[in-house]
Amino acid sequence: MNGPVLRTYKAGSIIYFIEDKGIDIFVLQKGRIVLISESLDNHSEVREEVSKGEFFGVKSALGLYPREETAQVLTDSTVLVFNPAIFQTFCMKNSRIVLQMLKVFSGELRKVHRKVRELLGGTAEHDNSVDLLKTAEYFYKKNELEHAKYAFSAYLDSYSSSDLVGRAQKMLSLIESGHPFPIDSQEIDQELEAMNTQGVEPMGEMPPESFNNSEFDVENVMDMEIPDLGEPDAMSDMPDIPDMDNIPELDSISDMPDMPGIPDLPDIDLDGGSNVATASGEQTISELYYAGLNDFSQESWDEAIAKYQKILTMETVAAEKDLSILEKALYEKGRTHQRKGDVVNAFECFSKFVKKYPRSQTIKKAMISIGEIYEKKNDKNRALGIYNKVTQMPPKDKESILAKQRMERLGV
Amino acid sequence: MQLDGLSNKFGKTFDPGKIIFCEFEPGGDFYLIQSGKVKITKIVQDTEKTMDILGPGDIFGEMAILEEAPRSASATALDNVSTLHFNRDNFVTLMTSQPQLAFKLLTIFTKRIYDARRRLIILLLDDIQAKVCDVFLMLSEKEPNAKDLNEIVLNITVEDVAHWCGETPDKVQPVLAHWLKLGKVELYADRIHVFHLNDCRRIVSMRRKGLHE
Repeated sequence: MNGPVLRTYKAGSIIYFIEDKGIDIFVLQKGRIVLISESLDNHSEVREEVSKGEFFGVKSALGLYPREETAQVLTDSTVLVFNPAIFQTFCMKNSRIVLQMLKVFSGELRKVHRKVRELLGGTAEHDNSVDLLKTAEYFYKKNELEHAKYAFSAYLDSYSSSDLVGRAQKMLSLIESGHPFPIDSQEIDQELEAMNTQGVEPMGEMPPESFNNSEFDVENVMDMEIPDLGEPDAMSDMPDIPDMDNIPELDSISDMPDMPGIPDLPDIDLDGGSNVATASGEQTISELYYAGLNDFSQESWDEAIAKYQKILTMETVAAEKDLSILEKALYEKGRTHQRKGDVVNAFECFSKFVKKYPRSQTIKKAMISIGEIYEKKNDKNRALGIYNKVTQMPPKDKESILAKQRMERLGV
Repeated sequence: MQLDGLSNKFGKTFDPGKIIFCEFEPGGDFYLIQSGKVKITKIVQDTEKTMDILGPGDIFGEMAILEEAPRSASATALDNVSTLHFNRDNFVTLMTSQPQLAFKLLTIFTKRIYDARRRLIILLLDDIQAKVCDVFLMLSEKEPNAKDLNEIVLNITVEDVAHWCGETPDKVQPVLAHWLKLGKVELYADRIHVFHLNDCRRIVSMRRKGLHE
């Protein structure tokens, strides 16, 4: 069979029903045919008559999904029927027609996307410029520096009049001068909020020369943004880091089972587990932990910290299977303090974690966090010491590489 | 695809690890891979997720031709990648000179339209439970025996479900927590086990009928 087949239909007959599966594609040659579908938004019936020479049934045939409309014959009609192979051959020879179809489809796609956006309204509409900047900072935090540089540059190219241009320039300068991500820099949303509500002068309005590499003092900027630390010496009140000897030695670490890549979201069984005071309607440990992760993802630091703290106070009543959640909650609490900018409490959590769970799968991450805090404290030697320890702990994974990169940046 | 003749005019190469475009970046080009592999990723809740790995003959970034919206994901070269890249200006030239590519794009668009309409159907539901149910159904429909399935493990997180529902995770979480207690689902950090898809079908169907009233 080399070409389409000519088929005739009597008035009142149905070529295909909505929800049918079919692979044929049709072109009306003679007669009248109507396509009957349900509108998506109000479930009313939509009737659309096919023009002579018009294709129908194309999308569901090519996309291999059920028919989205019923094709009903109004008067005796003749149609050309293409199977997919013949249709493809036809398209190869008629690129102009394919181009027209592409235009129709693209118009339809735009329409559906517009409706989706309308329905999402405030819940999913974001400021794309802010999202691009967040993406750039994500790459920076993850030490994907080429990606970060690309994304910051894309931001500066595309949104040169944005309030956050200064922040992007600053971050780009930091990368180019070899500095790690300033862990306690203010979150983007906080900075925006401050600009909007407190009239804080946006960094974007600072003169560009402020970001000239030769004049740019990263430490000063970092200090400016450290919340609640007061005098620089306040850091000296931090509890001392556990002695390096308390961190597991290589021999003992090598006895550990193979450490898989450390997942960001640990695999937890939320089904069952310790059910503390359910009679009073309280959450189980696992539910609390999950809710804490959820708060973290929403950047509700205080709420997340409160939940992790509550989990940690449940230690004595926790079921065996929840012990791993206690461990994770301590790490997450540290991580949340760190994201919040509270390095003192972050340090305390990570120190406890390293002492208490030396064989944890998250040990390297906790140690790197401690190193970051030491860097913040300008204690380069201790930062180097702990990064070095991480590089020597098997297996060689992304944390080992990260620690090595941090050492290189500190000049080793 | 025999597109070698176009390489001089539209060719662009990327070294391993090089980012091709970044999520949320405005963009007007799309790419056809001639050789090499490209990773498509999105950052979801502070984790970079791989959405797809594409190879020779695959097209990516084509939404830029349609939408004014910025990139919906990042694209990174996994090895030495050779591409043809196109934009609005050379789109017609390409499509008329390379009908096989035009046909491929036509097929991609049909799938995109279906997926977007399916998403719209979920968003049009006015009840959070029905929305979550319909997300499970939509994702299960990708299975070959979808209609007969009553149980499925979906590699998604609560955040993913919330995304499809057009809601925030804190709205979706109580629904799932309730079903967890009833044994209808099991929640893990990286997947959701749904036990009663038939219940989901019933709930969605009832809610849709409600829309007629």
